[in-house]
Amino acid sequence: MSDLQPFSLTATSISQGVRSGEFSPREVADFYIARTERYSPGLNTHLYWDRDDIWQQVQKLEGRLRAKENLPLAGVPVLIKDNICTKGIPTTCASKMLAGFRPPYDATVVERLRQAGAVIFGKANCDEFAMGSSNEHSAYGPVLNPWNQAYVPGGSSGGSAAAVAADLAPVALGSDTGGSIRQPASFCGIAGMKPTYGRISRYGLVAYSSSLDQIGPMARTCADLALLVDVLSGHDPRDATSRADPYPTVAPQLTGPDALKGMRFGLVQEFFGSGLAEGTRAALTAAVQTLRDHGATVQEVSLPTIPLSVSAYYLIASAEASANLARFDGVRYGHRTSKSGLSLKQMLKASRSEGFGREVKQRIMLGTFALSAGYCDAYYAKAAAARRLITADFAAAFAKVDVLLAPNAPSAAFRIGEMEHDPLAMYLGDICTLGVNLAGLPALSVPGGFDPSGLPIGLQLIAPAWADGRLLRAAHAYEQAHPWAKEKQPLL
Amino acid sequence: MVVIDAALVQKVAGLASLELSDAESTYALTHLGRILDYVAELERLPTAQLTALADAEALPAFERPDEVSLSLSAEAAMANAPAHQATAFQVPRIIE
Repeated sequence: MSDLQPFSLTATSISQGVRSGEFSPREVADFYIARTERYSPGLNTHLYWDRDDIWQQVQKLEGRLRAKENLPLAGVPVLIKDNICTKGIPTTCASKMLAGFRPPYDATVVERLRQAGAVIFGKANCDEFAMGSSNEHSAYGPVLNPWNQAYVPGGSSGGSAAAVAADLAPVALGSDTGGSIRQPASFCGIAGMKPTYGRISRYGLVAYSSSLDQIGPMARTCADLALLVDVLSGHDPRDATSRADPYPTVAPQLTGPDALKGMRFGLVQEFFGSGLAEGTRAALTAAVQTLRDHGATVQEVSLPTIPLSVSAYYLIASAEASANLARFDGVRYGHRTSKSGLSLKQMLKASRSEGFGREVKQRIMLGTFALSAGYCDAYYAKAAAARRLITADFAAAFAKVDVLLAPNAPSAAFRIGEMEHDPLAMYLGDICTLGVNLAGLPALSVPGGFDPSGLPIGLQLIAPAWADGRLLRAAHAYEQAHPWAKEKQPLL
Repeated sequence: MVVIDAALVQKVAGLASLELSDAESTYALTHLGRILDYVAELERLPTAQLTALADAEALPAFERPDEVSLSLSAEAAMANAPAHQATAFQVPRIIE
């Protein structure tokens, strides 16, 4: 029997070890069950957790291993963000609105994970309906950052990020509508990727903003990101936005630090103004030097309209959210008020008002206003036009460089409660990540150092649409050149 | 620039099928106003010649054949309903 050590396993090494017989899926499950039971309650990373279900999955997997099935994720525990449907397993979106909801089907990504031999290892806490940047907007309490539990893990995929950072699972799924994978990955010192819009099916992802939402992987290495991207990618007729024609897999495109030689990086100058924390600036400056030392060229580039991305994003995302969340009416599923003697309309209003939390109501209100008669042209239409300008700015930048380099946030993680009463300040903190979603591009965060207080800082890399392989090759090369994640682990 | 007042907050809440408590109305009045003040920067955008972009530029349109396919059984679709009778969702009386 192997002696599995914390922070020593990756999805890649687990899959290889299980398939070669170096260790059994039971040993792996046992190891992660013990860590989850020990650390998850304190960090509040999990909203659902079922040992019996995990053992049943492992038992089935053992039969598939004996049958020599092709299982690229053999025995790999994967934690699923709680806005992704899992058949028969509670899926709440961290909202009272969906308390007790058990989906009648698996999301396509969950189907593909199971098919690949992964073990679904519970559901991760997140901001309610994925609306937030700190995981403080969960109806089931905030997630704590494993590096310093007085700080937020970021959001909205904060439970997924904190769990991977604490090695409660080697990999997790998140969703990224405006940075909800990259920013928490950065705050928790792990890698997280938002693939190109249309690469991974969203069927079974509870919709927040359909033109922006994207599911993606979170892991401690870029090789694991690539492994998951290849398992999850591919056309799904149940998601009309998923690309139908074939495109290359990404894992074979990862080489090593030599990949940086001759690669052209662009430093997005709009993100390096006075609002950038010195610790983040220093980490990015050091990263630029590492890239140059390995033969890359780095030049400044401008995205002149990127400052408009906060306004454009919050109007478009809120407008789409107001339409998507109209489905929660207390009739087909979700919370219904216990008040009696109400008309249909009164029941609907009372159910929604009791079920949704404050931030969700705020965004529904903003979106409803932006789409309402008399205001739609001044707000929503302007935001959609700004989206075109932002997209054009990215295209112009990619005529000069291969990959863009940016922070994920103006600073490392902030203290729990620090921005609770100032939603606009929280929104403005998303400025570094929103443009990517508006333009449908692939982007990721890779560990890039620590600020003076010891909190992790991630580098954001951005590539043109469908250049996911190039993006991962660049990030993997940087990671090999400077493997920050191997230097320090959170002290739990 | 629009001025947000209590009446407009109540009107929008009605359109969104929400009932706001007094505290929530006050919160919405304050923060919705601040956010709309901020996004007013878009008013200065020279967009007259621009077509609005509703989706990402990279988004192609994929269509599937319009064919009948398997869906959820009635039993599975009803399983999460707050109230139902046989294969019908149950709602308060709508005809007096």
